[in-house]
Amino acid sequence: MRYGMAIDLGQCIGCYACVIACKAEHGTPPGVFWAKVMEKEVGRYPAASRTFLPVLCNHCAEPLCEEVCPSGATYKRKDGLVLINQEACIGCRACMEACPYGARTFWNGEGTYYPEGATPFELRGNGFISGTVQKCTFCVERLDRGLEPACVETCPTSCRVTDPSVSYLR
Amino acid sequence: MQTVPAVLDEFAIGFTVQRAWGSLVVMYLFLGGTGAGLFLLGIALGTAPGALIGLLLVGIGGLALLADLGRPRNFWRAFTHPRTSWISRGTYFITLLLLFGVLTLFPRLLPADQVPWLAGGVLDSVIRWLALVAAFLVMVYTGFVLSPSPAIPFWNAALLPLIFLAYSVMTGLGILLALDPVLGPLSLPLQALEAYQVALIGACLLLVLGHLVIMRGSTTAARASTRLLIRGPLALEFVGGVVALGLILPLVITLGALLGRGATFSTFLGVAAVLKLAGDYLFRSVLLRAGLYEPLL
Repeated sequence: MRYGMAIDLGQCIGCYACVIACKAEHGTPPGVFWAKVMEKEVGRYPAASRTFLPVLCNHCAEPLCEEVCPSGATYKRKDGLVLINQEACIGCRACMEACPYGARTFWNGEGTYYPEGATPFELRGNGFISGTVQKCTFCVERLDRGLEPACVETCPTSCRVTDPSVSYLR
Repeated sequence: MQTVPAVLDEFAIGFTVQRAWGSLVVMYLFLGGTGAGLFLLGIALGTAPGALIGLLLVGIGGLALLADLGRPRNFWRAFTHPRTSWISRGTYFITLLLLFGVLTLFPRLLPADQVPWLAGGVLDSVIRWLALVAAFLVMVYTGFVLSPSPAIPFWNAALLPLIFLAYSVMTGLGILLALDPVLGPLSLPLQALEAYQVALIGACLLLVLGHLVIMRGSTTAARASTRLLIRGPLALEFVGGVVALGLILPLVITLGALLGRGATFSTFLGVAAVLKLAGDYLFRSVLLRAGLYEPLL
């Protein structure tokens, strides 16, 4: 079995619920987004509108990020998930250069969510090692519990699909 | 984040400039390439002090690369995946160059009674050739680090390793020519070396311009990168610095030295060498800063 996700771009309303759900689920450090929604204005007044593009790691079939990684920190599992072993990451950022989707972020350990300093939640570390590259894990820990990725579960328009019975995911 | 206005498809959010690699990587690309070129030519032309300077430059460049890592103490892990990763291969190349480079210089710089092997012996020949091959690989591999990924089409080009090689040899030879009065006689006549230098500068010019011409006919991001260099925010550095001051002016000066002749030209060759070095640094810098990702849709 290989995990997959389809996103119906026409259904995305740009609510950023996926971005927040991902943050809440993983407690990623400031400036690190595993799920992003890019947006852009299109058309001209009075027909102007905004269009949205949710972006996350595509867990590519042949991931270039894995190929260029000099330390083997990026690896691909048999179920298709591309993950990072933070302990092995040296922070060279070659994978960021190789990723066409901008799905990876380097975290240098700096910054806090509030100007007063780090919250107890941030101080806990949440398993993030500074000086490493971060990216979407497809909520692997949720999958192990039989749950869907947080971004899929939270999407109010159900534009994200992981159910293999959906025709266009097959 | 610096972005360039998007074109075409409504989901094309825009070109994004790569920002993962910055000035320390530029410093390494410059020092590693120039140092390896200087070492290779220093050994080939019989000037051990010149080769030593080259090796020092490679060492300093290696330190810059180390400083750029998020987790420098983990650097040893970069040795573990040479089968697929050019960065991993490069780690071997730099290490081999520094190791065999130092061993090559021992019998050439130290008194004969302090080194257990002689310059020109069989062991020395083996060590020297290994060092020369490693120097060649260090000059070339950085091009392969940048070129394999289609994510940044401006780097995804077969010419890149050749450009890096040409630049490295050119700046290496430029330093040797400029330092000729200090380093002592080279094994080839100056006039021949100046002729080579003219050819190398010409080759760099053709390769760089050829790269731009190819990229202008390539994907949208590659065309946008070219526009950044020719008439965008990087135009002054590229057209003025890399092409005019870094290549054309040194070409004129070296041609003048070649045709006009005379030892007084060494000052001008020094100026030309400095200009080429600055041009080489600028080229690698603007190349990284012009790295645009292809729009997502």
